[in-house]
Amino acid sequence: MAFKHVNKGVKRVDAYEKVTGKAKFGADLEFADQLYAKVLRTEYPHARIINIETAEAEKMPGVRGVFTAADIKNNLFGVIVEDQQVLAADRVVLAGDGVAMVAAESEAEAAAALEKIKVEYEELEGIYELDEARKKDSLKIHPEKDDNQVIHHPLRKGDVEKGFAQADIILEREYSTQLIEHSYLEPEAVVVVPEDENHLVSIYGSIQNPYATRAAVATVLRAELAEVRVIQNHIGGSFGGKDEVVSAMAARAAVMALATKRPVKMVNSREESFTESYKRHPYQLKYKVGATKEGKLTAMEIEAAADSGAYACQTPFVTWRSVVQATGPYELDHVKTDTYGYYTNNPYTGAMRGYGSPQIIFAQESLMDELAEELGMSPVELRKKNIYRQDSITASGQKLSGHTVSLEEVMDKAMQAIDYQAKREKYSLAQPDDKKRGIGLSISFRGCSLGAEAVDAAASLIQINKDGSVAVYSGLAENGQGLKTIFSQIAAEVLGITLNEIDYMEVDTTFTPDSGSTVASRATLIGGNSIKNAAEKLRDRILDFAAQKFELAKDKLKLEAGFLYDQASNRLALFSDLTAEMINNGILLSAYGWYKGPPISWDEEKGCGNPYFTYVYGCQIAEVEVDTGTGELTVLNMAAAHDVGRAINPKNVKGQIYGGVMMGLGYSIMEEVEVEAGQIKGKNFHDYMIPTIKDMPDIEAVIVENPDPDGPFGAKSIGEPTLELASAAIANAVAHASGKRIRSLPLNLERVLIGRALSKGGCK
Amino acid sequence: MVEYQLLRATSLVEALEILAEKDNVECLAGGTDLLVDLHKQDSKFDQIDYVLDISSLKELKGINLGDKKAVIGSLTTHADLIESEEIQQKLPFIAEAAKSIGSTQIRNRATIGGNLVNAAACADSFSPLIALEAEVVLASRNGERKLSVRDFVKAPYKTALKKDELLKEIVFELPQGKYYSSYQKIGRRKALSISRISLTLLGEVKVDKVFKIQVVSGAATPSPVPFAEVNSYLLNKKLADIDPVEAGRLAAEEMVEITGERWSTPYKRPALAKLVERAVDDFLKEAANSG
Repeated sequence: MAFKHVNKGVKRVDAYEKVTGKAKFGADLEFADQLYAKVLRTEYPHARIINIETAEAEKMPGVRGVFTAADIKNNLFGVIVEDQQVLAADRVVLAGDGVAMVAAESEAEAAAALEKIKVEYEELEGIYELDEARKKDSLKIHPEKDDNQVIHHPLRKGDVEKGFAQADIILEREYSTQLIEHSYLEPEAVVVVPEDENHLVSIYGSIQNPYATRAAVATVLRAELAEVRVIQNHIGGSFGGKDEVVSAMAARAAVMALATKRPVKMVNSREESFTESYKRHPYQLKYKVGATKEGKLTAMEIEAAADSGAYACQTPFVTWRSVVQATGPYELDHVKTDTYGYYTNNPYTGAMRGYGSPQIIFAQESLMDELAEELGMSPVELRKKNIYRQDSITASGQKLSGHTVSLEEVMDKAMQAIDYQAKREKYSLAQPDDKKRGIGLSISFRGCSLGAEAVDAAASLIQINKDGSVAVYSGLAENGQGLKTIFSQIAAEVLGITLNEIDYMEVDTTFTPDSGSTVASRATLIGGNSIKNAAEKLRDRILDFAAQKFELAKDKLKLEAGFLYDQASNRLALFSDLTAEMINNGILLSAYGWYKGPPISWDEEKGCGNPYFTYVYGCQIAEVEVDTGTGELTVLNMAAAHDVGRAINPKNVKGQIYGGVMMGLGYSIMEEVEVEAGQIKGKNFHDYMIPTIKDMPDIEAVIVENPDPDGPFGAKSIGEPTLELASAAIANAVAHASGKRIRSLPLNLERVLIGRALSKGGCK
Repeated sequence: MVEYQLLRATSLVEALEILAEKDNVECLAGGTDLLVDLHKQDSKFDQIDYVLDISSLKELKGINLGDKKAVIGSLTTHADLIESEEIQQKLPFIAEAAKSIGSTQIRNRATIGGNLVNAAACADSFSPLIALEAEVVLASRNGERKLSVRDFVKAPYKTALKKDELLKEIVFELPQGKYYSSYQKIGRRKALSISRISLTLLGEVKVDKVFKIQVVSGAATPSPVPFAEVNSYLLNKKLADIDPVEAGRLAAEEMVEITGERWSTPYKRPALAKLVERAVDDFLKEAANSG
């Protein structure tokens, strides 16, 4: 099939305004009579609030209002579990909980007033370790709950005892992963305008999920959804991070905007962002695997525990993805998996690109290399003996059919791209110098979109104007991933128009239909289908009209590059003339598109079913150099092969791969939010290490295309799979190079040299 | 809130007048430490009343390497050091140290004088200058005095600079004869990285013996110091008799003697030993090559 717009690396539709600096971000917005607000956050990870004294702050210059939990109609919100407070009422449960806020004429005046608020606390004992949180008799962080368990997902297949009895070798290993920050370039920002154009409040800002923010604000204000309007701005990165934390910020600003009857702007500094934003879950993982001496896996038993911090946030769903994918893409008759989330008084954890997969893949793909070594087998051979193939049955009992199971293909293509075999052999020879090289790989399968988490549907709206120009609206959001461009390409492809006829509109909850959150690498797949659906409705309407007008059968006509053609490629009309005529004839040239994913199923008690309707497959390979004298680790090259179904925009797919590999590299070798007794140490990028351009390896990005019957033009997912594989590939390469297996992330200087981490103190 | 008045000096004389007459003044050169600390509202600024911008003082700029004597103005940026052909040829380890600092943006602004006056334990400029036995020239309204770089730094973030003094320039004798150098650094990433450990080795060889040697720590000890044990082990030794591993071992022992067992010692002990071993190895190889 020859495409005109799809499957081509067209320029991003939002590139011009971004590279020229014209794009307006949340912090750029200014409204007449706007106030600025700041939040007083507690330093105590767990304390009772005895008293909050605001009188002095209220008298400070420029102050227009000082607020506490008492001023909030409904103080509790949360997407899955309503356990998060807008402002702490009686008790703070993490260092960074807001206790009061000030709206003032200037940011400096708001900050000065915060210093005058006196809060009296009674410090309480806290829980900072998962092991402590799990104890039966430990103190309860949310006293109204039975214990500190946020969630438990079991999965049972076959009989692991039987499976282990069949094994010639059984390996038991423990792994752990760390807390990390999203590190989006733009800290959180919102502006809330009260009583705006027939809405109670209008909310602008750096918002990943406008509908989730709308729901949270409506809950807090006890308002109807229609009274709350959310308009998304350009967003400077999110990676799953601008959901609950921005909803809380928007709710706070909304309370102040309504009380003061003036627009209220809030912009976090980087330090404030580090303090209050949720982060990636640290996991403790126990794996037990059995295999025959021929390398066939017989059983796997897994326990994964996640630190949820003080709030449930996304933990129930993050750990659900973990339970589905915990074995990795390997055929197993006997599986017993349990994933858990626990409350602690640590910073809370939520959605971050990968969403419960990077942790388990680090463990399970490290484990496969450890098993291969025990068996005296190559890592590739062991994997190929066990990987999912067409019609394989997964751990949850799902038959992988209806789409191409391409694990072997992604493995082979990644290996070819980086010359894996030759390097593996070369680096397996003795290396006399301190600097030793190694190469390692990891593979994954990943369920596309939400799966059994929630209703999986999206809507869009396309309006064709009289002059043939086209406005496209979607309920899913551009978060930097390239959604506007991809959706424009799909609309242009179906309507047979040029891309520059399309005006892509920002999400505005008043006009665009609720399509759920822009998460789970679902936008191209679910949202793309809804765009295609809307465009197809309009194309049919136009062709029906044209068929009548030109007295030709509809299937003898086609729209292409802004013209109507007949079968012999004669131009019959301009697209814009046709649409003008239709509108003059009173024909509606707007259409909603809707797409709901195919049926899925999940039995929460047994942990079985068809949790996702399709999957993507990926393989990443890392070539590293380990300085065995100093612990320095250099990632020299990486290959990343990902089956995306079909690349709507191959350049954009490669961009996603490069970015995901880099984020994965940071997760693997340097990033860690250090927390000591609930306190974050180091709240800016001079303490928190993320990779620089000099740490970036050469990356061979390989796009594998096996069009999916359920994807728009066959397209599936790419955003998250790119980030989940690097850590295991790098750890495996380090083990290959140095002979040392590191089972905890990150693989920093200390772990690489002496095998364990030391508490960092930086330079000072 | 830290509040201060910003003053700008247009000549060294004016700057020294201001320092003599006003109290509680912080000098602003490249600003890469000062502005960050001001942003953090560091409590050390609670007492300041003035920030004195000295960044345009021509008297403090320039690199001047004569046959024997060298003068480096305190406002010389790390980028200036890297780009200087004379530095690259005669003192490559200074260029290496400068290259390892921060990022392009930071190297374009940050000055060697600022790095010394800030005196972080991990400051990368100290070890090459101490190896050269360099001195700082401290100017005040009453005149100038010289102090060895080693004595200039008292403790982390503490120097011998008096409140009315400015660090004007750095002076040292250029090494003569056959000399070899090595600069080593370990950081947590490839750029914008604070040194975990760094060190400079500078040695002169006469015939087949070590005639002069300076192995100086950076970041490994609270203040940069020469490794006395390592230096005495190497000095006057025949090149053929030198065991780089032994030099490394001595350095690590000496470091622990200075710092005591700290949280970082289990890492720093083997890593420092390895860096010293490598520096000595480089030195021996270079000396052998130029025979």
